Amino acid sequence: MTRNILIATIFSLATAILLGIIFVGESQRLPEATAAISAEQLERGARDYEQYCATCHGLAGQGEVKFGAPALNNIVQKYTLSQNGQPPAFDQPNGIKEKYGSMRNYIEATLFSGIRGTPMPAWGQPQGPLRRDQISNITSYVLSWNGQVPDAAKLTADRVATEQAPTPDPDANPVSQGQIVFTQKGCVGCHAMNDQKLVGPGLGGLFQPEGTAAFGTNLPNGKPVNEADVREWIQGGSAAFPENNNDLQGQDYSPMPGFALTDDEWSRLLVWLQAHNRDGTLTPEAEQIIQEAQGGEGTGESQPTAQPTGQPNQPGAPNSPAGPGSTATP
Amino acid sequence: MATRPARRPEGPAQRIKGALVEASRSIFPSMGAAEWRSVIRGEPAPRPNPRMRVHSNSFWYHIRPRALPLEATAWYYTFGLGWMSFFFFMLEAITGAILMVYYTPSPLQAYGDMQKIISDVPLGRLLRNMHRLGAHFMVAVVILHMMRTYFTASYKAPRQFIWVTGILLLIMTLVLSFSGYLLPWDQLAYWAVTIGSSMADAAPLIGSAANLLLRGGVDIGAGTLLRFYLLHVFALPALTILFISIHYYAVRKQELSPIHELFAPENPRGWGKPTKRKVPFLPDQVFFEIALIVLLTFAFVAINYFFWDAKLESHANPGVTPQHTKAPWYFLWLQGMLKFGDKLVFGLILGPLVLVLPILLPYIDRNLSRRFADRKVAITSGIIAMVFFGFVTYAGLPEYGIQQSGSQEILTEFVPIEGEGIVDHTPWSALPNTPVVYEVVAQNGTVDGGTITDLNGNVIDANTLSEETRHLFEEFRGAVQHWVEVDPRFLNPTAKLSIEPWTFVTNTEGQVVNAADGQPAVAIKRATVVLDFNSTEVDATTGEVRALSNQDGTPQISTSQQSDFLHRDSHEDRLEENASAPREASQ
Repeated sequence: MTRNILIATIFSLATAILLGIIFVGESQRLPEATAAISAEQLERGARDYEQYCATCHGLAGQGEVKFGAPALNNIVQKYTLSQNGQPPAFDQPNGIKEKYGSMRNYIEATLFSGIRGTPMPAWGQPQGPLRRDQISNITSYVLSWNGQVPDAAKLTADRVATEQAPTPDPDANPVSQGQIVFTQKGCVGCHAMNDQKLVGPGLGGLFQPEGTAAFGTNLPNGKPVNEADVREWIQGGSAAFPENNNDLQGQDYSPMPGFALTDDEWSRLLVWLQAHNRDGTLTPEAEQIIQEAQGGEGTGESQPTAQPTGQPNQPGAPNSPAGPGSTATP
Repeated sequence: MATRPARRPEGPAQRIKGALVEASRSIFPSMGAAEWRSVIRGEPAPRPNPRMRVHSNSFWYHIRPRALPLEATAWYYTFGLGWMSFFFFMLEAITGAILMVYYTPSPLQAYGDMQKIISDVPLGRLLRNMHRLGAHFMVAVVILHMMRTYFTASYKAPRQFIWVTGILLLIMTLVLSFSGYLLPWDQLAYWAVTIGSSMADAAPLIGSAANLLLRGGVDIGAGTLLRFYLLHVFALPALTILFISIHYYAVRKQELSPIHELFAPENPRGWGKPTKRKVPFLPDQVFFEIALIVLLTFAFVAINYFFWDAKLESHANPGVTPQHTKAPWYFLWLQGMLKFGDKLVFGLILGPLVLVLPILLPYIDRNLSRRFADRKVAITSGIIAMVFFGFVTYAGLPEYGIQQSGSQEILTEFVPIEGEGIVDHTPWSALPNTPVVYEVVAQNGTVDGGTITDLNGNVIDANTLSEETRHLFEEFRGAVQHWVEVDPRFLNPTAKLSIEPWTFVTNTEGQVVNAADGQPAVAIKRATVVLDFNSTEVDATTGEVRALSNQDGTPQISTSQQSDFLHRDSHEDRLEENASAPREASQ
């Protein structure tokens, strides 16, 4: 029994000493843990940036990949240093500083709500897919460039862009040509050609009798699906139809930006939109179109549905003609 | 009732002293100062033993006996498992109560609170680790306790009721642990609970209703978190305390099952005879248990600080299912059983059976003898049940019975989205600071030696790379070789593992800071695995794998790609980092 008392006493003291040592060590560990957590947030921000932002803004934040998306890697310098003798946008009256307080707040607010009248959608939940912590992580990552983009990242960005860019082929069958327009215009970033929701609703079955899974046979603005009204919808975007509430069958979607289409682009895109059933399979008519094209002459492109989706790090960033102005004013 | 001294006029000092003596005696009956002194000196108790004087108003003697038979304290008999279950329950209660201070059960805040507990609360990580590991230990110990009770036939008359409360406590322990799983609100929590609670669907009739009640909606969301939290910190602990009290009280009433009944009465070593020797609860047994509590606490603190760390995965995301999602280990058997058959059949037959059979066990097994020799059927079926549960637990693992995709496995093994892969375990500073691409090509089941190039395809001398990096590339090649052999759909792959510096440490002016070696200091390195392999299709009837090719005869290629970002602060060895210049310069 004396032994038990002795053991209890010794190990009580040992536990107290151990806890004391650990407690003293905490002043060292806590800052390290904080640094590790911010580092992890940067890593997650980098991952989310690649998934959601790199399609338009570029893997290295160099901008101009699609829709004239502005460069992001020098965003702090661009707004806080004076450009061409003009005072910096940050400090101007009614500028970022007065409205948002800091660059971080400005970027987070932009990510959260998007920019009206541009293809930049609202990313914050519930309109978009991102939680607040994801938006904060992406902002940390964008700010961490701090004007410096490593050549390696640029090189990778270019390499990925060229690898991913679909090669326009005048001899390709009409369905594949439509897919190229679909990819070049960036539709593929938000829409799947089946019943799956990405940022926007899946478009499988759009022109089929059953309609899409999200909004059936009527467009969100209530008009029926036909060639003229679909084109009007794409060109105007959802902002052109104020009655649209972005709420389709209980699902929230980001606003749809408007996209200018030439007659030629539209006619090619239409083939692609018409070619899919709701479940993502090709319609018999589309199969026939492909058959006929191949029957006439053996063309290479024959796998319009081989585009893998759901790969989180497939930036799918084709080079396309830069859109209007490459800077967005706050 | 204790006899009260006759009331006599007395001063306030005496009255306070009298009240104190009365109070202390109601906790430690009959132990006065002189008695404590002789206890600490290890002196034998005088006769008649004053330590044995029973005070019927003693709290302790309602739950523990005055003296235990010596054989009941033999460690090789009970292994102290029931006692240890209670130890872990108290440990969970204490650490949990402190953790509650820092936690808010809301999906908007829970994850941030976890990060704060790890990075902002002194001893927070230790507390969290102890609570997490303690929960696993508690489940394990309670299961072992049940198995011990079964094999020593301690559930038999007159102790049937103890067994029944024990089984209820086992169920409560499992649900307690499971309800705590969700609270960190990370990916592990979210998906383990998704799988666990969807298994409730398999239960007949009430399954989907129970699931809805548990989740508070169709999906796991804010309502689920609040429900699990309240179950975890209020409802289940209250219920468990109640049943532990009943369990303890029943054991107190019936005494521990005697060990000698397990052996033949004529056992030559004397085990067959009951022993008359007893160990007084106070002070011998009490001090033994206190010593054990202190020892275990010390060991547990040490284990959790030096050897174990509960990882916090990334924020729960319903949109992204991590590879290899599985239920908590103690529910893997359920996941395994559901793999074998129809959800309804297994839910209808096995689910209730697993619940009801153990509860009814003492009323089914009418054999009164506790001798091992008389229980051949019971012991055999016990061993069969153990083997069965071991097997279905193994079958519940994600690896079992599911055709694994080589490409996905390699991505998860090296650059996982959740948790740490082989690349994360390579020392960060040993990874190259300039872009390096390692490429291996497999043809007809054999992998070539691999080439090391930069981004432009210029060959890099392997000797310029660190040993760890070369080892990493070797491992990558080995993994490709392995999956080429195992997975017929991973056909003739070209596998690339590239490591590039991705962002740099900059100062406030946007200038890149140089590291000690004069090179720009890297902040994030990006590890990317790209797998190009021949697309295949599986014939639905024969199961034969056919390679797909394009119209012009070239093989059709599928691509899998995934990246992992490695930041110096979350990957580099702390000591090295403190010594390096760039961190200070970046402040």
